[in-house]
Amino acid sequence: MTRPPHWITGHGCLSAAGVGVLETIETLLGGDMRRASVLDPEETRFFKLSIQDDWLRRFDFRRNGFMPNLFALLAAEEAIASAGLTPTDLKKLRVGVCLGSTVGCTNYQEEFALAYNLGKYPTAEALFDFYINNSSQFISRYFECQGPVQMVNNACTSGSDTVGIAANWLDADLCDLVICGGTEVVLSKIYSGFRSLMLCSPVVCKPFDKTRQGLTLGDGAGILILEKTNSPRAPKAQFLGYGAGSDAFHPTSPHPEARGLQLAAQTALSQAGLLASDISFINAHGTGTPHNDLAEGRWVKQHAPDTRLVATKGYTGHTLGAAGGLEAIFTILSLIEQRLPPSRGFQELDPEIGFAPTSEVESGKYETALSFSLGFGGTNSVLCLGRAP
Amino acid sequence: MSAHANNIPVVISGVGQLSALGQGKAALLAGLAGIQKPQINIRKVKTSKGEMDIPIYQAPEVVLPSDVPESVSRRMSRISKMYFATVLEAVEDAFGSKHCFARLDPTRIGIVVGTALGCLESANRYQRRVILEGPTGASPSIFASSIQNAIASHLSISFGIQGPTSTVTTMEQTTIGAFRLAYDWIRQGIVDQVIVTVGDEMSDYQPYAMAHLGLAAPERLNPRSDACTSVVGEAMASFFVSREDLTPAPKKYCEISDVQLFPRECPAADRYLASAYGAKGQWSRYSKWIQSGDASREPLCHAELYGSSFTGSAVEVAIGALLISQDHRSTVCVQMTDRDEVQTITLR
Repeated sequence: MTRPPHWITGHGCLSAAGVGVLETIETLLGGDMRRASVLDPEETRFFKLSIQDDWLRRFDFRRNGFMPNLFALLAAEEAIASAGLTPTDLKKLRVGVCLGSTVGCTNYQEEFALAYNLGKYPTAEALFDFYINNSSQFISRYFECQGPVQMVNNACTSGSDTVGIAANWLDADLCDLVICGGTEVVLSKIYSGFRSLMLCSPVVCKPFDKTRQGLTLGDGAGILILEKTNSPRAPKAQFLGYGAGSDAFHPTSPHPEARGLQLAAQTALSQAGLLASDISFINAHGTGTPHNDLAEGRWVKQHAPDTRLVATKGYTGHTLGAAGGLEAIFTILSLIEQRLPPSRGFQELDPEIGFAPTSEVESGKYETALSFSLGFGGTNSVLCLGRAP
Repeated sequence: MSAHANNIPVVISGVGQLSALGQGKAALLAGLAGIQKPQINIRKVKTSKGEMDIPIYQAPEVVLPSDVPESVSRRMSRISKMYFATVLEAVEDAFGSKHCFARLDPTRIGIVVGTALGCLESANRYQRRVILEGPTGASPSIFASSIQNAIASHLSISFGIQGPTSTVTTMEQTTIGAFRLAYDWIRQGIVDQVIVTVGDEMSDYQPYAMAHLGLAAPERLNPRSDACTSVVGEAMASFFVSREDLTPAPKKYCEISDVQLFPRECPAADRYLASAYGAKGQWSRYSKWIQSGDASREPLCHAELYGSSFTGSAVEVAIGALLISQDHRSTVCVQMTDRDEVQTITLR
């Protein structure tokens, strides 16, 4: 069943690959990793964004919640501006907000939990932070949006799933425009959890490489503006389709034959009216864990063996709930620039996967792309995106 | 064929519930009839000024069917068991058997989980161990079950469901947002059926907050009052939602005729269920909005049966579905935030 395309008219992002789209392009296509920093290599080996003083000056944590909300705000502001909109314009439109996160919305008030679990009596005001840590409600209220609001917590597919929900809302005429995407901050206890599952790499992740040892976590946010095709604003790219599917296999490992990914890809392609062979390139989830990359690789080898594959987590780390939004933007940037970034970290072909992702900047004629997201719980999402008409 | 081209009718085929009234929709019906009273326990909360008694609506310990393998049930957190039990009830209600999944195409079924607060107890347990023992205290199994979509994952794996799954966590806007997602999936033809399950568990934190914020121990929860009478509650409801035009035709409590996430006015119906929970000034705001089109509308609310919860609207939707199947009166369930952001679901 095909669905009407929608336009992506704005995008904004921040991650270890750069604060803002321009810096991100420099990093992905120019090989400049100025911003990436891995802090405290013994204990917290993940990409941590350096917080800028002016961010802290203009963001009231007491009123606005914790870091995922700040990242969402920064990316949303850039996305809104890049669409040629102002916050005042938003008030004249029916604007929906749908964001995803893994940590956002979760009760991880570190100070409160520490005091509470040590038998002290912390102020319960901290629990209200939990209430305002809903990034979707925060963004909607910050910009005084008039439209639906939804927060999605589908682990690492959250960001992609919000784009699918945004498209549903536009199809059903619930709103004129949707601010969608994902936001994430890596807390040390989240890192400890991934490490306990033995999923963390001791070096920066090496997606699809034969010697890959796991993932590297990272902070980030990626926000898109999705609109109907009758928008007066110029599109940066087209949303063509979205699909989701479940592995029904294991809480933390993907199905070895990528069962859920196949359903997700098939649905996204069907909505776009395309075949896998029509796709110019795929932005892989590519976490660098042995199981994830093998499962994705098997799918690509079977269904789209001639399609170029890009893995970008070597630049950003795995930004969990933000990854789908961020990587949709990376995909759009490649469609705009007609260039694919090298898959940072990849060096040596894994014979079990049997093909290599990009290893240098590649130029070509790229019309359509898929962006894959796979998550804990066996959730899989695929976005089908196209070059602006 | 484009999305939404078909306007496929969507119906509620099965209902399950768990609350302080007990496990099962029969307990909810008994509560509505005044036969069954909710279980209200007292939780002792330590504060710097001494111990306080905090009343809570506590759901009973879940009884899972004996054919759920012990190897499965022992890995489930309490909240997962709660969801599992109510989903099984909804499935059995819809099909007459909880073993129906073998007959259905697993790729044509989706799951939407709604929770305002998430896997609180698992998150607290995980966090406590990391705080007290350091990074080596991180338990992989507790960590995995503390992630918000662990419940959807557990249901998907247990039932072999391969369609889309999603976990919605939008505080008071969770329930109706979850229904909207299921409604869109079915109307777009992505799936034929969706398990919608929404609720929240009781953790140590809710009574702690009530005690420390001076909101403790009202005489009784009265959602139809503007006074602050909140008594935190633990409740959830599950629904088997289906497209109506399947063969054989699904069981039907009611049709979901509309789900609005930002309505300008209250849809007209024979009955209006408000999801108030005893917050200060809340009832007036609900009444004003529901009656804005017609002053004769009389909002109803049943939170005194299940307690104060951001996702209590799920139980109101269950009540709506059960009542419609008896009296055929169309029903609008209204959910409102503290900033007057409104959502509605219309059942006919």
